[in-house]
Amino acid sequence: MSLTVALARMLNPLVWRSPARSADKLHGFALAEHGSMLDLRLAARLTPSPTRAAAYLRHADDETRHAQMFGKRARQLAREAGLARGHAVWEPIRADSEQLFVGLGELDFLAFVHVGEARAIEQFLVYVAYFQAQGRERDASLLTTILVDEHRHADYTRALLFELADSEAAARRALRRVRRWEAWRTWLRAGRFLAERVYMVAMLLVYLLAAPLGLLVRWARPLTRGWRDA
Amino acid sequence: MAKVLGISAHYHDAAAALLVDGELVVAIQQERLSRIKNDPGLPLDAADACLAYAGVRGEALDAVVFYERPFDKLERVMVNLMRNLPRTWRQFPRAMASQLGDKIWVLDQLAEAFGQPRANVRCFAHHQCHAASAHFVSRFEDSAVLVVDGVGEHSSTTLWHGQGAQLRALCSIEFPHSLGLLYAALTAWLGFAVNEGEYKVMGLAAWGRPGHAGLRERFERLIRLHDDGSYELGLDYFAHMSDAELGFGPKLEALLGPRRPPGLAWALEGERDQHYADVAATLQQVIEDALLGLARKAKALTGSPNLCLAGGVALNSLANARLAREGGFEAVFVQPAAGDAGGALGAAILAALELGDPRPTPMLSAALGLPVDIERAWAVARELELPVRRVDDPASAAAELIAADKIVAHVRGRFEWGPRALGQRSILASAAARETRERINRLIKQREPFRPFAPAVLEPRIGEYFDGQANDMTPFMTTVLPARADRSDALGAVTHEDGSSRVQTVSPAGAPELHELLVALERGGHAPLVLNTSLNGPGEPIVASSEDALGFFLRHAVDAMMIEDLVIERPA
Ligand SMILES: [Fe+2]
Ligand SMILES: [Fe+2]
Ligand SMILES: [Fe+2]
Repeated sequence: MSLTVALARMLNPLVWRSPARSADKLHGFALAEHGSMLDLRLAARLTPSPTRAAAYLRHADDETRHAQMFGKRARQLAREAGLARGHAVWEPIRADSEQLFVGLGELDFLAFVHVGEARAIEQFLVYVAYFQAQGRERDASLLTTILVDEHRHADYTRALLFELADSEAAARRALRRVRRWEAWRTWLRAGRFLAERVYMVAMLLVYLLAAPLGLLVRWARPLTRGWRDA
Repeated sequence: MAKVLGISAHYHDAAAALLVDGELVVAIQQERLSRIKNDPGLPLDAADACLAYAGVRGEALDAVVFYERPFDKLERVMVNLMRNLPRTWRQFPRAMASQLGDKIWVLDQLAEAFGQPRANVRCFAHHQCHAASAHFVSRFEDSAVLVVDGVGEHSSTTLWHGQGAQLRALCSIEFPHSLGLLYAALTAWLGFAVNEGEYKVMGLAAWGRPGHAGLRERFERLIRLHDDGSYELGLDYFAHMSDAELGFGPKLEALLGPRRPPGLAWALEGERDQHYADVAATLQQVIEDALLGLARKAKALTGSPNLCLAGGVALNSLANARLAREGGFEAVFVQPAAGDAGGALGAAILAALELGDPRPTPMLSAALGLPVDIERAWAVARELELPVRRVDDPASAAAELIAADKIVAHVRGRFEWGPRALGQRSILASAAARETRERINRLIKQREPFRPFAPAVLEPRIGEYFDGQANDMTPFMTTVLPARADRSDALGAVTHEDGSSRVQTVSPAGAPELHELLVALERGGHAPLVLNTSLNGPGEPIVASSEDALGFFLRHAVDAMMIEDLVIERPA
């Protein structure tokens, strides 16, 4: 059993414990799908090969559909849970692109996408089993539908990766490289998360210390109104 | 004789524009390449694409120019944070991180990115760039320039006098008083995304009753218009000093009612949504009245017969039409990228003028982006197993499809500068039938029911369908005209609730491919008129490349797509 599977199994009851939690999680999936769509569209524009461009476009189209499916279900669950209207679930699905194709180059990009798809398959399978056991047919069938596409994505990216690499060994090296790179990125993200907390506390202290300045500013720089000549 | 790259970024809608020897060669919004709507990030992709298009190396540039003074902006942000202690405690850490972590280093980043000595990287004030982006590409020798947006460094409204290659600052209104921020606050209150939903507010306004049930009096607490053309916000009702996201405070909800939940389906027959429409209509009226006051002041100070407008508020085509009618000027001009993207253009022009280049020739076309690669489009379409074929006469082929009531994605020429699709990256269809509008909405746009679609008409034929003449704004869809009631047969899909149309007049200089198409329609015995809406899915930037176009075709059920001389028809 891989670490991914073990983690997913362990966290299942927590992640899916309520409609609100489930809505959150599925909304997160929608964002991830949307982000991957952006990366694939970019890859389609930048790859020198029309064949691969076509493959990336088809893939991007699937991810757009997935984003919509996840988003729709997330909103259904949010409605059931009575989530506040200000919640992120209600906002349009909008993710950032990491411009991975530019950053990694096409070979590593393919390896990266393949690794991501393979991991998604592992996770989704665990979720499907859990949903079935819980009698949540609707969520199980949503993931089962999407899994069909994810299998196709994992397969074609692997095939393209081995085709594009100079040798089989080079393809495997690319796979190892992006796994290492991802682990490093996760580590950096955790670091940043922590640093952001520290920064917030530090800044609030600065803010408190600056409080007297507030009075000074009000006196030295009063608000203007009406016309001001240039 | 200089090569100058202008850059706008970091607030919303980043862009790059390249001037060579004083002429605008290429201008691109970052969102078209990054595919992130209104992408505010430093537009290095857009800048690189500009340089590549013009065949200019980064090191060969004579200047790189930013559209804002980073340290003036920092000062305003800091002063505001301090002044509004302790309400700003939430905003403080984030604002500091974004200012100090990124924004104030932008000039150094630009120097590094383009291999330029730091001395060649300069900046001008935000509103000066806006004003330059309007006057200098207008056809006017002399013009009053009115800039109205959310806020630049300090100013939110400024007046200028443009004379030939000179631009002189006259006076300003300063943050936190701001028409743009008033509009933004009400946009958020109506449940739309700020910096994106403003068009929806304008569309909604047509369904409301301005001033209904004492709304105008209630609005007087939000904004007071003075006789000298200036205005003042009732700051207690707003929160833009302490909350960058929302912009309005609890007092505003007490005054106008609770905010509308975002994403809720609209039912304009119902009383509740009618109230929201009434507020939108009142806001529109107040904004127009405020702009008329500012225009009067501009006229008094300059005596100029012409008016140029810029800044985000200048994208309000309804208000622009009223200014053209009642503002007392002979002509009014609004550049297609009147929002912050346009700042890149203004910055580049200001630097080019300082380097001794002449003023650019008037802007006649918004087709300033990149063309598509036809061979690539052909190859990828074949790989996608789409039924692609080449035609000798693409304009006639497109006209035939439209005459047969097909919805056609039209990808021809260089993509547009600014938020409007003007025929280069458009969805085109017959303008006559109301059903077409419903079909486009159902299949592609999923727009709110109150949002109109716009027509494009052959310029000399405009009087046959609309009450009014072609003017400096109609080629860029920055104004509206009333549709002729006796021609409703031809305009069923493109007339708004209030009888207006955001019409585009099409000439060979402005949009040559669309012009050919309309001529072909007329030759075939049809009205030289089409419904024209932007080629994008909901929430997406407008299509740029051939890959974007093909991706759109996969996802959205348009009947056909033209990519230059390639036609792809969806099998019935
Ligand atoms: Fe997916
Ligand atoms: Fe996938
Ligand atoms: Fe602006």
